[in-house]
Amino acid sequence: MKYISPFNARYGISPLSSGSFSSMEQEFENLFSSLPSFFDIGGECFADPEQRSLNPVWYEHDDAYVVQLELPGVEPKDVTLEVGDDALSLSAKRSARSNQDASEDNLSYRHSLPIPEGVDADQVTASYKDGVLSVSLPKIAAVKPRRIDVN
Amino acid sequence: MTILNVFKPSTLATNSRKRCGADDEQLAYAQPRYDIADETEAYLVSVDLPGVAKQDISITLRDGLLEVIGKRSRETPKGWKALGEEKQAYAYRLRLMVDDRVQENKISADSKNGVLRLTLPKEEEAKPRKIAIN
Repeated sequence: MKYISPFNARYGISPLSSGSFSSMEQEFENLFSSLPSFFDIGGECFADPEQRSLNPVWYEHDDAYVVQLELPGVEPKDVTLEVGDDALSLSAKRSARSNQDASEDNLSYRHSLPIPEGVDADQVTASYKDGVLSVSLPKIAAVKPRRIDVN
Repeated sequence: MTILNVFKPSTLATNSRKRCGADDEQLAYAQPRYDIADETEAYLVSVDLPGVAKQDISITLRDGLLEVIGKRSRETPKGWKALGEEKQAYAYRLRLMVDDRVQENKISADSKNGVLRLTLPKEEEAKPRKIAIN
């Protein structure tokens, strides 16, 4: 494993006038290919060239499921969320990082997430804070745990 | 031309392709996604820190090393069960070397929607010089 020290090896990165992520990633891949890659997350996300994983984390409660997705840099009103029978689909546009980016393809998220059965699609709600989207998927009444009395 | 040099944490103790590395203090750090834009007046660094509240971000500059640490709370809310494997809690850490092209005492930061934006104003000599045509 390479040991990278600030004193004997500095890797200069040239400035990117386009300000895009993907070529920074390639430079890192080339320079640090022997180290575990921080940029290659690998998820079931659909194409956007940066392959950003939204890192979904699921929780369960008696009444509902909750999934949290990482979506930094979007405004809540720019998020489109749709609930289907067995999947949640999401798309969102990121705000431009600087004035230089304005004319380029802004990064966008597009993700389709399978959801468990027994979800009441009409009652799904979502909130967004600090770059994390939390989607709450209430369970259909029949799926909630039901206490059974023993005589 | 080099503006900002970046180096990774000195030791990475991981044997799988996960995002986290551990350093000497036994705290797991992961490098966040970030971008550097070269504007006329300043360098703009955008750092993706999802799940980190503004008060949990620490930015320090020492000896030309700019370090951003963002703590995220990954605790399962009370009464909830986490599905799938327990994700390890970690903090984001980004280290950038800042050289004397930057006016260090004028660095400012702002955070919104989980993205930290650092503005690193350039020294006069580093700004592009306009040349007039007679």
